Amino acid sequence: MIPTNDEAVHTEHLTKVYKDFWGRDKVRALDDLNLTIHRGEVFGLLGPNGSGKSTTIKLLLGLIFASRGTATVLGHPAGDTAINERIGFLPEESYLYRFLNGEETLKFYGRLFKIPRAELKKRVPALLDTVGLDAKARKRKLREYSKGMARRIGLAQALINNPDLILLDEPTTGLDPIGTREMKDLILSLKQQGKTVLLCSHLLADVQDVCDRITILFRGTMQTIGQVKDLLQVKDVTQIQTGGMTDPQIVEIKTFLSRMGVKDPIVTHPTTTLEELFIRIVRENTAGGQSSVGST
Amino acid sequence: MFPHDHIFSLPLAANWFAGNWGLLVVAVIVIYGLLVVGAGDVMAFSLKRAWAISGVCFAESIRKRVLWITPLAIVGVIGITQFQRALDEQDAVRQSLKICLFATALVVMLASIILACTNLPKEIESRVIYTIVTKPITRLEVILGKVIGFARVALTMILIMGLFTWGYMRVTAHQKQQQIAYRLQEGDVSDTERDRMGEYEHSGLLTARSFWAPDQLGVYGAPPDPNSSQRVISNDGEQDVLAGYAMDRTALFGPPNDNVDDWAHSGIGERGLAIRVNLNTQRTGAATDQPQAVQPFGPVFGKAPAPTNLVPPRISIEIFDENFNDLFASTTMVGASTSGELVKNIVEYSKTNKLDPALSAGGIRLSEPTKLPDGTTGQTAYAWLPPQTAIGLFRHNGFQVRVVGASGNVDFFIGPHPVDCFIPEIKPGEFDIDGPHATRIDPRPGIDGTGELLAFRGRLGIHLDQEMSGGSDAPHTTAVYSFRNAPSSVTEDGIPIQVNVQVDRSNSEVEAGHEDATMLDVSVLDEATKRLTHLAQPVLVESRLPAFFRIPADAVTTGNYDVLLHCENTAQSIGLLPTSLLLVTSHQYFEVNLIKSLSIIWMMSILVIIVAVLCSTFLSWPIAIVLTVLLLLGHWGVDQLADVSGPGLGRQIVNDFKFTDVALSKVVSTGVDTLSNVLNYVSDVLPDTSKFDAIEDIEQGVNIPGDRLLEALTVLAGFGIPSIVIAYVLLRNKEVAP
Repeated sequence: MIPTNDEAVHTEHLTKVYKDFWGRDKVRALDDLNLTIHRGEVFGLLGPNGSGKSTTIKLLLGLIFASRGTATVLGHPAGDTAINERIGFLPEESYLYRFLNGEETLKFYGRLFKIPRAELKKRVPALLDTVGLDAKARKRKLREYSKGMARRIGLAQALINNPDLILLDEPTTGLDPIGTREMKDLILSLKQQGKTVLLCSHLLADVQDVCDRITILFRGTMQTIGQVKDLLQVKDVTQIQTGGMTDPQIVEIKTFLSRMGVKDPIVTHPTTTLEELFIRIVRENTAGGQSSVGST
Repeated sequence: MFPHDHIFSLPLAANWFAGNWGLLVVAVIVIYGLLVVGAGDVMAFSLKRAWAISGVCFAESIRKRVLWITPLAIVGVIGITQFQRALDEQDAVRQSLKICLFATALVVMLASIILACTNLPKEIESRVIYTIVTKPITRLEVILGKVIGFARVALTMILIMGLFTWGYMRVTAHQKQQQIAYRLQEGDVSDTERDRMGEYEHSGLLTARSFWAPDQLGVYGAPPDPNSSQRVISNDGEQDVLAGYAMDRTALFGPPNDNVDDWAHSGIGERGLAIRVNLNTQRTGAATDQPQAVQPFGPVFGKAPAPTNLVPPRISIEIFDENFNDLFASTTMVGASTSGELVKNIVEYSKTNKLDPALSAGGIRLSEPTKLPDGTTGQTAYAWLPPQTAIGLFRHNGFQVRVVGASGNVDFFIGPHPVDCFIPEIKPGEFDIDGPHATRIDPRPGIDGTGELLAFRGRLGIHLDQEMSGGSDAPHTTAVYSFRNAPSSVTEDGIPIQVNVQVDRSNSEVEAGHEDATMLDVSVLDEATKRLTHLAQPVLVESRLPAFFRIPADAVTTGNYDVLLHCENTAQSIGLLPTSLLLVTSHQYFEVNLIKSLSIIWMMSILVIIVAVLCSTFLSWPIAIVLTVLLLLGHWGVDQLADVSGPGLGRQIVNDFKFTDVALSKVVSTGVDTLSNVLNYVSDVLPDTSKFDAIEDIEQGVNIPGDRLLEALTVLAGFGIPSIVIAYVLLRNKEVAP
């Protein structure tokens, strides 16, 4: 199938087999992946460890080469250096030069995109603000960063070129719930800007919150693909939500539902998620809305 | 290079390719790598991105405190220089300079190798490379960026060490110069030292000199007569004479043939090499090698009667290679006084294939004076190198016939054509050594382009120099340095000359430590006017220390002149090298020379970095370090084997070990030749690091010639550019995600 302008990523029969020293097949990390990611969508690549998520991303970025099949990214063959101008990549861990500080790191990556010095001067502080690294943290060497700070600077370098396609490999790893929420908010904001995000994670809640579509990989093979809401919909259960009700009202509703022939209706107060609770408590206790990151 | 010489039968174009295959390999690698594989990356190349990568490499090295090694090296240098034992003030300065530059080179090379070998493998291992190659940067930019980055680190280290060297040497030289001025003022200098110290005070201790080397050194048994072409070599091996021959394989071995083994069956490989020596002799005392048979038998009363018919003296004939190394001893050749006698001796030898020492070329008694075909008269001696031995000449670029006197109390007079070599005609019933049917081999022309290339040498000294015995008796041993087309460097004081010799006083009976100053009597013979000018004052010399003198400006009329040296001290001898006497043509600032030296070190470090980066693209860093060292030392290693490797070696081994089995001989011969060829080809491909000699010249106070920098740059470009391309292609096709 020929990729169209609407497609950010397109793979056909993409296969990766790792070989041993003698050239014999060792591991089939990805098998016959046929995948299309549309521009402007947030796409989730799910699967347990070793399912082929990272392999897919490495193939799309040209870090490794396909054993079979093809992959195109933004209309160009995967690994084409020129197309990297429009791609941002956050690896599963922040693989950055640990002897540079935050600002130097972004300036270095900016130079690789040949961003003019004047433009870099504006863009670097803005990005550091976006990812929530304060002035003190910017001057510290990356070797002194906490895991969360390293993820943030990693994200900043992935966005230094204002990319059209952003590949995020386990973006919330190492982040606290607030950081996780900020990351998810950022992903949604990127979507609003019309950017395509390929999210690779095994933290299902994160994916559920932000992705438009997902695919699930297992042992290198695609198991399913589709809209999140379609895949998660439980079709034999109906949920009705109202404002708060009294106990007599609840009893009356239950009686009514039984009369209507509905079996075992459950009428109760909904619970919030632990993440929502944590964020609310932290936000209530954070004076002046200051970030908790980088203050250590 | 030698291995492809046997392909000279190919057409002209093919011949050119065969002679420049190294260049072709470079061109193919560069064209394939950059235009075929990486045309897109070349088009997209951005120096800005490469510079950004280099900046990170530089920052990493600096922040990992690599530069801290330089103060450590500086402390080490200062410490070591305190323990040096110098011969004089200039020697002290030069030793210090050598230590400084050696430390600079060592520190820079070590840092370069370690940084460049570890960087890429560690970036791949730590996966930092993920965030680099996923940016719009090509692998070519990555490779070049790393090379530039580490070259910047090396340059920084060189600048630090260079600044230290400059300062340290300036301070040291200033201190030493003050000491010299004080000693001269107080008269605290020996006779030998006075002129030298004066020159030091006048020219400084760090000044670099440009020299013009003489074209030839000859050591003779007596001063050469300007009006005669005859030269004298003394008895008992005090001197010898070597006649040089180029290796014209077509002339010596017949028509070219690709199969080296077939060379053994034509030309001198088939008929051997005949040598005819023609000279004259004169007794200088009682004959010392008369046959016992002529001595009176029984008691002698009164004065013993002198032998009435003295038999002629003896000479030995040997063959040396182009580098003055022994190749074939006289005992491996059949010898005789005349050609007729030689034929008989060859026939005798052929019967058993064993050479009777009495029939060998060791101690051949010269013939009675005879008239030669060319009309000259002289005493002859002949030698014949058997064909199975002569094949050994094939792998050399030239050879020299050495003639040495083997009788005492005899002066041997050598004319302009003392040696003739022939391919004899040997057929049943027809045996022509040097007659019309034999093929004469053309000798190398002499330094004037005419005559034969003859080297008159003194006895070989322990420093591989030529010894010139001292003494005031006439005729005395004389060394002659011949300058041809020497540049005019006349100053108001004359033509400046530097002499650096070895003095051997081991035969002197004077108590050690109280020896007489060794005096060289110097004369200058102007080639055009044949006028001989003696210097009024002898030049006082000391081992390993330079002496300076000036030739009077009016002693020479052109750049063609001979400088004659004679040692006046009895029982002392002077060791001379061809470059022991040099014409000083100009002086240069130390700073300029230092910059040249440091530039060569930097070029070497860039080569090391390129090789290290290349190795690190496909090897783990420990293995990359080992391979880098091997690649850098490979050429030098093969050079060490150069004397024994080369085509024809297999045949020689088969002969030496006397293999009788034909099949085994073929296997051994082919195997050894193949191995030898492979070694030579490997040597061709690997960089010649000897071209990066940054220390020797400046240490000797010699102005580093521009050619030296050009040579280093050529090796750097010739090996560096294809290495970068290979590294790029390897990295381009490498999966950087482990």
